Amino acid sequence: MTFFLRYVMRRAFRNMMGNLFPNLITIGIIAVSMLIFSTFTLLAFNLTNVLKIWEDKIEVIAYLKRGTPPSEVEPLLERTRVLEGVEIVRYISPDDAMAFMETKLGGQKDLLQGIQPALLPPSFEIQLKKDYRNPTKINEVVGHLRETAQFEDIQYGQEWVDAFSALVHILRLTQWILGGLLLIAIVFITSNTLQLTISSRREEIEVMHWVGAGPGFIRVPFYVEGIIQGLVGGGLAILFLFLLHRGLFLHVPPSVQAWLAKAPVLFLPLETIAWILLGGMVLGFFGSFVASMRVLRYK
Amino acid sequence: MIVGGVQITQPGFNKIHQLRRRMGIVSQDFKLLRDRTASENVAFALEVTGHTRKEAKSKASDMLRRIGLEEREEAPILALSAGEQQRVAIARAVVNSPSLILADEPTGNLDAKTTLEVMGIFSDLNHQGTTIVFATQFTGLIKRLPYRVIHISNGQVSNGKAMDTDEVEEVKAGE
Repeated sequence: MTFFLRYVMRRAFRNMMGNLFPNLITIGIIAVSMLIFSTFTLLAFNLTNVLKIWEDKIEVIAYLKRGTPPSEVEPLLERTRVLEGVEIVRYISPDDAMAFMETKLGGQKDLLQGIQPALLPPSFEIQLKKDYRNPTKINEVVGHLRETAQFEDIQYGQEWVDAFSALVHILRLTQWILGGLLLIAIVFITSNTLQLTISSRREEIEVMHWVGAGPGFIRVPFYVEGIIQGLVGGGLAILFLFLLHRGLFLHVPPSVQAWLAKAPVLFLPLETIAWILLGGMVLGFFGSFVASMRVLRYK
Repeated sequence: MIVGGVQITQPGFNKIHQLRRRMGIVSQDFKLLRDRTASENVAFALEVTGHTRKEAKSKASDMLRRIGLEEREEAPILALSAGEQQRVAIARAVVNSPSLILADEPTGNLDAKTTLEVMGIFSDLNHQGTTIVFATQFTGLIKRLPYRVIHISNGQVSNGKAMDTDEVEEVKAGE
């Protein structure tokens, strides 16, 4: 077995060296195709991460009707606390709301001069349990809250999260459609290069048939060649993406960072990198398999 | 059709490569790998049939010595004469010790002197017990050799008799 592996590797490298230019072109094209796919994967990965952070921060704010008697607030708080999916409920009085706004405005809090706290409605800040921080569950909780007559309005910023979620969804869809097309292209290109390699080795293959080399001895080196092309192409794609990430994504303007909820721009996790490399190898193998089926029939 | 006790025409027969290991093939145009040396060409037949590199190299060297090419072992194929190239092709065909050699016009590209040399090698192999099926259109060459001759004309066998002992002796005496 070790002998066979050594033989196969030696022949695969010999084939590659014998057709260096077509091999380099193929590896280059695989690298570019996989770079495009990996870039989409990285974008989707980071946006999903931001989405998760946003979802974790989602709060439901239920505004009470003005003039709700203070005696009704405490029982209402208790009733809200026991609603399914609710974790913490805080009562924000008009004075609290004013203090919060002053803090937010910082040096420009003078803008609030002349505004009476009574103008601001009292509200409940409702934090949901982790399992309830998704569009379906939030809507369930909000549905229950709307049944309470004392609440005038309920806001939960779900529209933003929904829009962002749709964006991530579209990005993922584009990633897979584009990825699918690129993957077909990779199989096609690998297959064509290997047909060239096989053609240039035609005499050698004929001699192999003559002397009784088994199909494994003839075909496997070409499969390995395809796998190496896919692996090197995928590896280069990951390397370029890493350099791009270091050079570009780490210099996201602070304003954009703030908008992205201070989420760090992460690189792909090791598991995803391993999948991309494995994908490259599988595609390379598939390309060489197609080539061998087309031009390497055992005679 | 049965070759070496194996029914090769039965449906699903897929061990043709194993059968070929028991046969050697020599052709008119040698079919040698031009980017390699004589020794590498012979060793190649062993390497691709599961022999280690070291073993293949050693056996190739022995075989080239047996057919008188020990001086040309490391010579690139293109540096060899036509006769030497055909001898390398024969060495490659017999290095796996086949019981049968199929030689298709092996002297077609050789001059008269080299043809006799090559025929001598085939004769030696035959005396060592290897069956040789030798196809040629040079009837003059056939007449010189004391072996069974089968005439094929338009794809049909027109005769298939073996020479008797007297005929063999007669041919040998004429050599």
